[in-house]
Amino acid sequence: MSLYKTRGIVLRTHKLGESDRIITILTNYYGKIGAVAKGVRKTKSKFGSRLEPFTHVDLVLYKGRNLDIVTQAEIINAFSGIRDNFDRITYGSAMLDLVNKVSVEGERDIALYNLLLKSLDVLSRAKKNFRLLLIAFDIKLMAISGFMPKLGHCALCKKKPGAKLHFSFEWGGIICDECSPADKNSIIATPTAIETLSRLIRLPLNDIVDLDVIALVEDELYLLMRDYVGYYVQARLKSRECLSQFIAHSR
Amino acid sequence: MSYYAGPVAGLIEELAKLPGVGPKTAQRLAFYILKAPADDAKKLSRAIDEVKDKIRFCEECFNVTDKVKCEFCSDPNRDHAVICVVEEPRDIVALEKTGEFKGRYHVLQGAISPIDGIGPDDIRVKELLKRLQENEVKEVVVATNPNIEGEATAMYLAKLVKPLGIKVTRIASGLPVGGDLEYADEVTLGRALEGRREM
Repeated sequence: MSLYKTRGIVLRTHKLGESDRIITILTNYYGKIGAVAKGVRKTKSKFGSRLEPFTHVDLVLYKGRNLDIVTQAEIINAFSGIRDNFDRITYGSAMLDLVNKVSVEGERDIALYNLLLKSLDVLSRAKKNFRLLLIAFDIKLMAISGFMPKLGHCALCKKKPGAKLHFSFEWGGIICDECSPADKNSIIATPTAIETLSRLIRLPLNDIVDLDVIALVEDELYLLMRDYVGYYVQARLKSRECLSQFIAHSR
Repeated sequence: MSYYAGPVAGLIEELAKLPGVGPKTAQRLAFYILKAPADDAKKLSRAIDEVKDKIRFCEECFNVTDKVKCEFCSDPNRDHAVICVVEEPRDIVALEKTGEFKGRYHVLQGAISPIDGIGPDDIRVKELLKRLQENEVKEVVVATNPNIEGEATAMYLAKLVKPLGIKVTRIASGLPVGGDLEYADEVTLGRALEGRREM
């Protein structure tokens, strides 16, 4: 019998067969793993809500030939604050989706695990600023994944830029007006937005909930981060498309 | 290279496409059909033809039916004022077995799932709103699954329907009858407590 224990956050689930599900979990020790939860869709399943997305769980798994099998699960935190609020679900799903896309199966990434855990915790208690939290989550995730954008000086000539700024995905940061012809796809960025972005990288997530950011700056940053993440992650993030749909509907 | 004659190999191949049926089971089924009386085999093929030809969605509630309106929508004895919203046609069967519900249904044909990119435009939400505007409806019972997608759908619908002045209710979550309290997870048990009732 080859049983092992681990702790993780359920990223997503897929239906399997009549009443099973494949659960994708980001664990603290084994990185991302896929495991089968047998009978979890039956009303009398012993797992109940324990293997729903967003749940932080202690798990016992049986090492299978292909996929592992969940034998026991105990909730550490169900993040009910997220489950009970539609907007939190949509922003939280965007976080789970991105983590699912950037994490690698079997590769331990404690920084990513801690970032996701903290972000879900803050989101589940936040009263406002859901979108700003997602922006901060995105930039922090990119930073720990090795894609920290250069924001202090021009990414090309290293000089302190003037008032006119461009953001280049290709060069990974801001470029000054003189260098901007080097990347035809660069977009114009406002100095306030870039300054706010640097603050979001430095500030702990707990403080971001109380931050007051002008709606226009937040709009700009939301689009900037969406495209920055899209440029480097190279995978279709369906949850973001859904999010745009909801943002459009609620206006 | 196939070891079976063309038609048998073809049948095995088609059967193997069914969910839960592997190559070995497909072989067994194919040979069962081969040995069965010609009448039985014809009946099976006719049943498959019919289900593909005749079954369509009810124009009112999007349940599967062989008529323009399904049996629940065309039944004059059912309450018009209450609509129960479910994800799939199979959920209607489960609810009907309880014998507790006498209203009509609305099948969404899915649930909102942000992580899969399934938004309200991908399921039959617009059609539900149209029904609510055109008919005299007093209550909408949301009976989507008690998982994250179902909950998200329920909350979204509540946000949309409540402003129309219609009562929106959610089916209760709690302990399954015949189960043991100690095995209940905290979310389920929490909801069971929240929804407790006076005796």
